[in-house]
Amino acid sequence: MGYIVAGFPSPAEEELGDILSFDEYLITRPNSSFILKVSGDSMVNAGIMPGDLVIVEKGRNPKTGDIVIAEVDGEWTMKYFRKEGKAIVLEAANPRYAPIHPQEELRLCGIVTAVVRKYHQ
Amino acid sequence: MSDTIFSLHSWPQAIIHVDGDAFFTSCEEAIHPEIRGRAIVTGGERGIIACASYTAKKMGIKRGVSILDAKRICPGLLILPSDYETYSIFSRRMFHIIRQYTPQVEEYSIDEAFADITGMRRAMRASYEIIASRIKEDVCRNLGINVSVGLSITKVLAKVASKYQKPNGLTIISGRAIPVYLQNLPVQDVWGIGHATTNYLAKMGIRTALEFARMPESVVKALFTKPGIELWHELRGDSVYPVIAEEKSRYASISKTKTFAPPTGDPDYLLAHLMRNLESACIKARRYQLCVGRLVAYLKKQNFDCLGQEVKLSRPCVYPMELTEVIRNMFNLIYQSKEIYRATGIVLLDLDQSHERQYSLFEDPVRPEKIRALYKGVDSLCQKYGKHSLHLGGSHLLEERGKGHRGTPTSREETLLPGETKRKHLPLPIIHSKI
Repeated sequence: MGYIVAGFPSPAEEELGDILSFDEYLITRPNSSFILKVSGDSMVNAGIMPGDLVIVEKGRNPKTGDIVIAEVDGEWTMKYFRKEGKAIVLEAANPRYAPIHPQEELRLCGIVTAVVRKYHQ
Repeated sequence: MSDTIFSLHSWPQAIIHVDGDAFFTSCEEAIHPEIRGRAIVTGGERGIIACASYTAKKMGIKRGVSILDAKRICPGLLILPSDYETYSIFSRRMFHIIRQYTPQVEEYSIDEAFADITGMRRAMRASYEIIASRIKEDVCRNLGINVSVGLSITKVLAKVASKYQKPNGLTIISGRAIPVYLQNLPVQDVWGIGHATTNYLAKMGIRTALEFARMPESVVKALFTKPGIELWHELRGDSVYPVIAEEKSRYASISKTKTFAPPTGDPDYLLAHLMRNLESACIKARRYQLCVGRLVAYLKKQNFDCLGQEVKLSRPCVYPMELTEVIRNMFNLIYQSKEIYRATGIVLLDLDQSHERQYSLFEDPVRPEKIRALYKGVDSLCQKYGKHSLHLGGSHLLEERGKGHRGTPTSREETLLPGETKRKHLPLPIIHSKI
């Protein structure tokens, strides 16, 4: 029989296994995520400014409160998605734009899952 | 006629073939949502169509047609430069999605995959048919592109199936149903049957895949070589070709070619391009730790005629510096001073994963070792400063004279996100829309 050196494990070692990269933090589903550079101001009150990058995820079903990229009357736009009964309303986060009530079937490009803004290169 | 039974079992094996529908233009439509449904082609940078969207195809525009002809057919045609960076991200994602259903996935080309899902029914709690349709749905939902999926019991039949309904098709050919799908299929539409075999079969009065598959084994064995016999087996539902799951790290050949505009007859410039082709091909070979045994160099004339030379190397080699003389000699044999050329190319053959080095009898063994050490440095420098930042004197002319007109840059090349450089991009596709 031998001796076993007892003691507390190093806290640094303990934590090593639990590192999440910024990639993983921002992009939960890398196989269906895309980048979009925002140019419009329709979501400024949601904190999404022109020039920001948003991560857009395809293939997810939108829920009320999600920010979506969708096509309305031939134009692609970024809006809050809201369900009112069976009807869908798209709302800007900018009082200058009125809510949209799409008549035809909504074409969805994806759901915004994160915003990235850099202040320095 | 179609009452022949080839396979008594419906699913002795289950093999899926996934084929991207107009893959390059579909990727473009996914990242440019506002052009969806338009007549689009890619390949603008080389003047020849690499891929035509289904809307363009309906107007008679096909792969291989010149951009000029295509514009004549459809004046409103949207012509895009090929954005291989984006296409390969879509491609990798497509393979990744398929791998979530089975580890046995073969990356057959940028837009095609085979997957063996035999035995996965219990793990997936679904029938083979449902697994196939889920794979298709998953690719469409997550990537925003359409694929056609074929499910059958051999690779050749899976390919027949994926082609049966295109675009956006899902076709299932169980063992018992084989004859139904082969009876109206022209033999030349079978994967692996080319012009020569088609004509050969026509001499015997065989025009459909079913007629071929129904030939007696003794006759097939007497009349065909190994590939023909293998195809015959595969069409009858006896699997011969396995789905090769390893990622592509073994290449039968590596080729690098460069088309430039305008075409030229300048020998120095042409040789410099050939040297650069060699450097690019060797970089790829080194990345996969391959050595080259045989080498082809060719020049393509303006009328697309190709002239080439092939050499066998006295020992395997993968460093351009040791091959410059070889290339120069080959070039001198091919080049004709009064001709105008539009492209140069290099093909590396007899690639081998050998590590031991054997030197020929009269060779100074120190020099190759020095070159090897030198290229270790070259590769690490180029990793830091960009491909070809350190290159052969023989290809330097390209830096001075430019690499030839490359046409309009892709949307990706025009978009530099903060912190990105020309060589370093985020690995996600960008949706190019004003939103």
